[in-house]
Amino acid sequence: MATREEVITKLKELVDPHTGINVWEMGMVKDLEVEDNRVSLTFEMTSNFCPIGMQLGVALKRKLAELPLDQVDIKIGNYLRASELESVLKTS
Amino acid sequence: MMPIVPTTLVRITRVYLLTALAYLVLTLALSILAAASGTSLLPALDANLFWYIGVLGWVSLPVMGAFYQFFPTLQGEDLHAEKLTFLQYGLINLGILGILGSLLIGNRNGLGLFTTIYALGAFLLAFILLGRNTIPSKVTLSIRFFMAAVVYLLAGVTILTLNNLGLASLGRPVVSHLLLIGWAVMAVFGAQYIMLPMLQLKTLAWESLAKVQFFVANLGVIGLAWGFVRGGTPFIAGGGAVVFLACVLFVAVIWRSVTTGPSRLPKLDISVKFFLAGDAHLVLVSLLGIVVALLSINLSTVHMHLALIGVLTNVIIGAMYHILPFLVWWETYAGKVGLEQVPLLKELFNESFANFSFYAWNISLWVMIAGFLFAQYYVVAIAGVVELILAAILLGQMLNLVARRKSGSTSNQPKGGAMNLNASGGN
Repeated sequence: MATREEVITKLKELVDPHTGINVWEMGMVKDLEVEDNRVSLTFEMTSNFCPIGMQLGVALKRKLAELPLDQVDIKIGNYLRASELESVLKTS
Repeated sequence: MMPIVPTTLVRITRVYLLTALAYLVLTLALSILAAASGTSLLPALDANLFWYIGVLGWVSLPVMGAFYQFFPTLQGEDLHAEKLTFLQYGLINLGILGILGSLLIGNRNGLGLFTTIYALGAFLLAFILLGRNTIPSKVTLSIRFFMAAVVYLLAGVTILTLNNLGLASLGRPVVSHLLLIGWAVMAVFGAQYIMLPMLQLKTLAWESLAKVQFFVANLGVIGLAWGFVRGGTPFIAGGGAVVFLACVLFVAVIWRSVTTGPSRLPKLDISVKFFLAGDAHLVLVSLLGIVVALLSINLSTVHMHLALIGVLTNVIIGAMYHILPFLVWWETYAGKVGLEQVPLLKELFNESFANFSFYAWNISLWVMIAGFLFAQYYVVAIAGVVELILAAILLGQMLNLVARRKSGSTSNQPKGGAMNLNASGGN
């Protein structure tokens, strides 16, 4: 079972390629909830046209997939292609 | 394995930026020759030569290339009609090279023909961007600036074509101002309103003022253009004053955006440094323009160099330090995120040299300006040589960067700060 701290540690491994700062410390992860081996969070881009938003979203799910979790729900915020990315994250 | 969703690779942008750098090197080389020989090149070589390469090549190509990235990205779309962009690139470059050849051999008919070809390239650009890559419901403030810029490009090249075909004689100043303020500076306004907050992790401040600034800037450009065509000094000075106001409003919005809110980055992004230097020069250039119009003093050369190097070269180089590394990163590493280590953008180029070149460009510009003011053309030539060296190194660096894309190798990537996204557990 993964703890909140383990989830945050995993999120900190994902670094924004422009700033060199991890997505957790950049404040891109909001409303993080870890309960009963389920994680839900909102991943909010720093600009709504973020050119690498798709890649960051997929990478975020990859990081969380390294933990023994039963379910990961990611909502995308402040992104023009939010519904497209959410769809990819749900189906992949 | 979870797929990385592909969005359009904007290959044309990379090609445009590299070609533009080649034109910069050529422009500087010709300018040095001009400075070394007094005030112009050899009589047989038209002094217009470096105006054409500088304005139609070095300044215009990066704007075109950047627009192919900005239009789709800012609307959350992929680039449509990408194949046409290569035809458009071909027309533009055929036009420039033909114009240069025509000027070198003094062929007026050739000049008219190749200016027409360049204009066709500009109209094709307008069709691709406005006709195929603009969604009315998604037009933002920056896109509005870009759309206006494209309209001014069409106006400028149309007048230039008519002039060169002998069908009109509206003069060079109206073309220069439509292309430099209408086309290039409107692009600068739109680009910085989105790039600067993005690069500094800030939000755009005083957005309502930025919207007002859009109308002020357009009013100024139109007034100025009318002044050069028919209105005379009152319109030129009045239009110039409105352009100056637009520049002051722009700098106010940018400054407020940079200084407001918490600073999450330890220092200014290198691109932002270049942008801010360009913005400072922009206010100066627009003020100087009014002085030149009202007092009829001969500072046109200083005005032009401050605009081309102080404003536009600063901004274009600043943009290149973000866009080209990003494109290479995107093409080479985006698909590998989560699969292997990928570098940060700033690890793809020499940041120390970028910082050094920031100061070297701006110091050499002011040495050049001093040379013009005191009619010491050898000083202008020396400053030009420094800039030529800087431009050549920059071109070499960017070519090297693109070569890295082809190799796709990650073996020599730095270990510190890299993404480490091993996809051990993809759903």
